[in-house]
Amino acid sequence: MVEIQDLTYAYKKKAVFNGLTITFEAGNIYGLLGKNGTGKSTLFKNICGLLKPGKGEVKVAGQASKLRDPDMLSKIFMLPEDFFVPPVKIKDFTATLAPFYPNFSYTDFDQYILEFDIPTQSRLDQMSMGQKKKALIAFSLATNTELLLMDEPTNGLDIVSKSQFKKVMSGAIAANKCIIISTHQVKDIENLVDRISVIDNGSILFNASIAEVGKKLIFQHTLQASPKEKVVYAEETLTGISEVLYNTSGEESKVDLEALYKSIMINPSVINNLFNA
Amino acid sequence: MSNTLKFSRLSLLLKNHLVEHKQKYLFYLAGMFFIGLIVMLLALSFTSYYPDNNTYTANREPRTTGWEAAQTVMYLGGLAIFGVIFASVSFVNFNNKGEAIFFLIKPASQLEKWLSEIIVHVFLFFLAYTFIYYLIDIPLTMIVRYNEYEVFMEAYKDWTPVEQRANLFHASSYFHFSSMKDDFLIVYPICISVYLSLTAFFLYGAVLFNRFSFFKTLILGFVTFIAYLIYSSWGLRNFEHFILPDDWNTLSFVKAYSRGEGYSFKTALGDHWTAIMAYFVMFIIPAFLLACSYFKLKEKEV
Repeated sequence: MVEIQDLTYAYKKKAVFNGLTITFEAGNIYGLLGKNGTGKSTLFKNICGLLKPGKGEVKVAGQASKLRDPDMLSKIFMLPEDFFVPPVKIKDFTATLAPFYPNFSYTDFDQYILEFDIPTQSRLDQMSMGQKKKALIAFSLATNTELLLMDEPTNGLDIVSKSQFKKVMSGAIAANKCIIISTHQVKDIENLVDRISVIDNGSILFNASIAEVGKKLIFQHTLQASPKEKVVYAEETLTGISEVLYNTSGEESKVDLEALYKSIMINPSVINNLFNA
Repeated sequence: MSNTLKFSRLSLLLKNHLVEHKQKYLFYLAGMFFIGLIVMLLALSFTSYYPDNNTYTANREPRTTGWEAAQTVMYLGGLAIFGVIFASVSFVNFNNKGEAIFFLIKPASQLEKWLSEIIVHVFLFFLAYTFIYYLIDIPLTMIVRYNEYEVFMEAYKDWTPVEQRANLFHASSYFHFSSMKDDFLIVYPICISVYLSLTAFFLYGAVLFNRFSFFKTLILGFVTFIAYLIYSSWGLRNFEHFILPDDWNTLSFVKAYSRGEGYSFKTALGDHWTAIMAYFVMFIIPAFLLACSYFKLKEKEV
């Protein structure tokens, strides 16, 4: 779905990517993680053609994204962190924007609006931050685009809305769709994503499926520390010790994304050896 | 072809644009109406509706009244002022990243996005402005005509139909205004050209600058104007002898000189060529500026 080959991008003199290569496949929900300023939003913009690579190539469904071809753009929807809503009612918003997306489903949209409990009579710009975001999430999912990019989608959502988001998202994936969610709120995408990609210093530090992680690592919360040779990462918490251990049993375990992310950031070489061996 | 320009997509984009900006445009039109009304009422108070002392010209055509002159000046001045302000809010606020992303990722080609802005901010604005102008002008002219009926009929008894007094697009308005009878065919296109050039310049500014595009474009225009003045008054005078033959008329583009050894001759192009080239030069400026805004939009990054 998305092929990024040897991508180099810099803001004036500040290099963001230097030879980044990664592929995002259809049928998956990706969690894109990384520290602030590592280039997650920049990567999204390169994918959409909003930024043009210095070197390398970004292709979406086989088309170079930098050309901003309408056919390619109709296959993408991006929900940016700093999103915008025009001063119109939802009805007018969908009536004039949906026709650009050939697979837009009004039935799905109505369903999402209902699930998110969004007032349909209000103007979008007069809604609360959370309602605006939910309306855009509903629209983005209803477009049924092959590629959906979401930058910090749960920012500004309350606890109930976050649950609604997870529920709606889990039903939205299809074999021909690729969803990439960039977030700092790893808890919000737990049990939702099936692949994790971590960006650091302009390159991909980690890229694996949740199933693969579950097979190679064990995540546990314990009161007693495990032997050091078994531990990849450990952190003391108020209620005990959160540990990430080598999975030697071969049985798949439930992945704790926050612990995984910390393991990757603190012990990148260990994780790399484990996953790239 | 379909990926560059598809009329069904362009019409969708236009519809989408008008719906999303409906509120902003209605405010703008209302503002234009009230400002126009105030300015025209003031103009009416300070200008004379009566023809000057010599009521008729030698060929029995009534002379321009103060009100007629004010009408023309206000129409053209308003078109330029409101036009550039409206052009400077074209495209989107590129400083607002969310808005810019929302605009740029709409599934339409850059040409279609650019065309929809041109259609709205140049052509539809022109129609809306002219409509609003007459909405103010016709009632005001009728009121004055009612109050000063006898004087009016006396002044214009040889000139029919009387209703055309308010028609700025009628050649007669220019016949009376500035005595440009013979130049009508060149004066009106010049006005259109100036309007298009100004709006095209501000459209370019709107896509070039992310913040305060109106003021930045105004400054850019001022700097360009000053540079042109320096060039035309000093540079051309000092350098023309190096570049052009001594007797070359720098303001003329219709004559060609050829200088050989010991003799020279000149070829003057026919009048129709003069007109064609004048039109070409007049419209090449807005066309060039519009092309600049298109290429800038195509390369725009957020």
